[in-house]
Amino acid sequence: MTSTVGVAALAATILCGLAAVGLRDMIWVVSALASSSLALAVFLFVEGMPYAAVFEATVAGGLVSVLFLLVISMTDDDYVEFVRGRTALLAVGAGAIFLGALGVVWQGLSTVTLSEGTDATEPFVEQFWAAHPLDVLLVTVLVFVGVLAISRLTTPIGPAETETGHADDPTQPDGVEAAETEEIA
Amino acid sequence: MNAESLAFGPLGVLLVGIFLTYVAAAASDHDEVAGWLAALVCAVALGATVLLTTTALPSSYSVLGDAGALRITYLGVLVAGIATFVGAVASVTSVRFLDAGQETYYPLLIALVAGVVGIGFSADMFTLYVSFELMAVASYALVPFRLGRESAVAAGSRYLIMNVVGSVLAIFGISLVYANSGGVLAFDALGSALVASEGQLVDPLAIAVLFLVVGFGVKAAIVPLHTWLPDAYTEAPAAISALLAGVATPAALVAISKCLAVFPGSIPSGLLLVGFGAVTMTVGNLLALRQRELKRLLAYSSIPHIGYIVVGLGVGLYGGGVVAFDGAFFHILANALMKGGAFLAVGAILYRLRRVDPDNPGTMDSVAGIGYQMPVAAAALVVGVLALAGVPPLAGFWGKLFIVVASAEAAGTAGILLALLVVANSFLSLGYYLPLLRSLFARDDEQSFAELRPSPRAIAVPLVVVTTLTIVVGLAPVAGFEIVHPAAEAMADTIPEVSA
Repeated sequence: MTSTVGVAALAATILCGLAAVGLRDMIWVVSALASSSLALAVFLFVEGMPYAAVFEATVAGGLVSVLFLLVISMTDDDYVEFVRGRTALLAVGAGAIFLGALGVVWQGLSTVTLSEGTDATEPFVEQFWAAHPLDVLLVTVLVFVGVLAISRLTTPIGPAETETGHADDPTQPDGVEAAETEEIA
Repeated sequence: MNAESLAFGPLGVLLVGIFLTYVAAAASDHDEVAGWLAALVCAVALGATVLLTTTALPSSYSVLGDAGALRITYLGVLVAGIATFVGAVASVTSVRFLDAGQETYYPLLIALVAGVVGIGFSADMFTLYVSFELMAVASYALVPFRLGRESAVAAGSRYLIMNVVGSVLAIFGISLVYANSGGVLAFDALGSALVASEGQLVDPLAIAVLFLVVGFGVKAAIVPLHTWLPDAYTEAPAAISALLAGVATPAALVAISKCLAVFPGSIPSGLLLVGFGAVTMTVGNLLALRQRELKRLLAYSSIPHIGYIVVGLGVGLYGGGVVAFDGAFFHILANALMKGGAFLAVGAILYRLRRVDPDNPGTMDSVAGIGYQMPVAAAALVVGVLALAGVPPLAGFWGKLFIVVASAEAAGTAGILLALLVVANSFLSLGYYLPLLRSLFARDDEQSFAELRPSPRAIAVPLVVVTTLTIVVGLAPVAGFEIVHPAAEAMADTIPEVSA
């Protein structure tokens, strides 16, 4: 049976999800979605899926929200204005929140035994790896891919962005193909 | 090589390939090095996948420890084979046309392919979900890859918003499954662990099915969750459009079918899919009828093909048996070839066209007669489009035929009506495919494409390969069915009996 905390987390997940759909300001949409993911992470944790909770909190609540913000930053002028001049403050704030959340999650997880067969005195990380090695590996790669995606989305857009390339035809010298390379690339 | 290493081969090669291609792109001044390496990685993963068919299937393997993690099934081999093949083709076509300094492109492409392979081989729902997210996160950056275009960023933004919501719904559905299965998520144990609730107003498992279908259905672009697709496919680079249409979207359908196959027969998951599929193919065709722009038309025409596959899977889950799954899986295979080839052909045409006429909108009217100047791309597009329309004996015909037969045999009058709807939709699609073909070879005295050069070799060669396979799979469908039938049979065996 789901506990009171689980029910509250579930309600928060649904409310934040509905808010994300209903809100118009994209910053609040991202905040609502991130909150929904975090509430869902709490629900998963309470329901006995700590590995899924960690995944949901870090990847869905964290990484994807960052990607989200980056995409919005390229489309929303108000957001660009908001961020301008506050970059350092925002970075420190986000870092502090992330580290705080990580500490809370880690503290909570340190008391968890993943399954009945495992040794309760064994460090959580070792239990975690033993129970879900492929998931851990995939999440690690996923975080790396997320960083690559962030790296791509934060690439300065310059003249090189649109079209340089290499001639595929020996009758045409390299560089002549400069235009329209993007269409097939 | 032991069985465990062999089982981890395709996924392991791709995961390592993500890092290798990034290092190669960052270390080399020529991005083509990373491109060829990406193609090689996909080719090696494809070889490893083929090698897997020599082992006894299906088998579960523990990798990196004692916990079970990979389940090598015929369906997994089918999905991995398609993904790595299309990934290799997409890498080759991208290899000569990428701007310098874009070192993230190929690692993201490989990550997308790795995610799809992970979906195919995942042994439990959580691994499937993580693999799904790997595919999704890579595509979040690939769809708006041309950051200089506002429309591309807007398309990427919409794609991201919808798919993030879908992902939250999917993990929520998985958590409901977990809560109702006593903590079991492994596919081979879920069938017996999930028991439908008796006497409850709303069965939690029915809600879980709904969440899973809607959650993964966003990525699959099932109507009405398809609104991100036209812009995303149109604005993404052509090779990525081919990868999304031929691999990523069908992978979401495979994720749905793997998840739903373990639910008790009393949960009407098959009917739910049939309903979604019927709406998807009809609405998709009606929307495509209004399109004039080549790439956008192909994007819209992807929607009905998702519908055909969903109908096949739905009929199979409803009790339609092996024939329905044969049709659905064959269409997934054919769709990868047809759609991949068609997107690459249109990409080749637009690539050349906009070099001499940057403002050309790429509509059917504005490319009238271009087929005479670019015969390879035009021929590939003709074959791809005719196959997509289901014209026999090309690849797109056989999957639809089996879906029609299975529908007609599955459920009396309703089944016959469903089969007629599939046939009607196939004819409806000719309404937009035929004008496209006509425009390619129309004689228009006012337009001249004399300055256009034929398709670049780097695109022409993969196009010829994909087009040849589209024809061969159509002419010799037995070869295709030999690939998909074991997967269909295995899937049919896992479906619980429908309780009276």
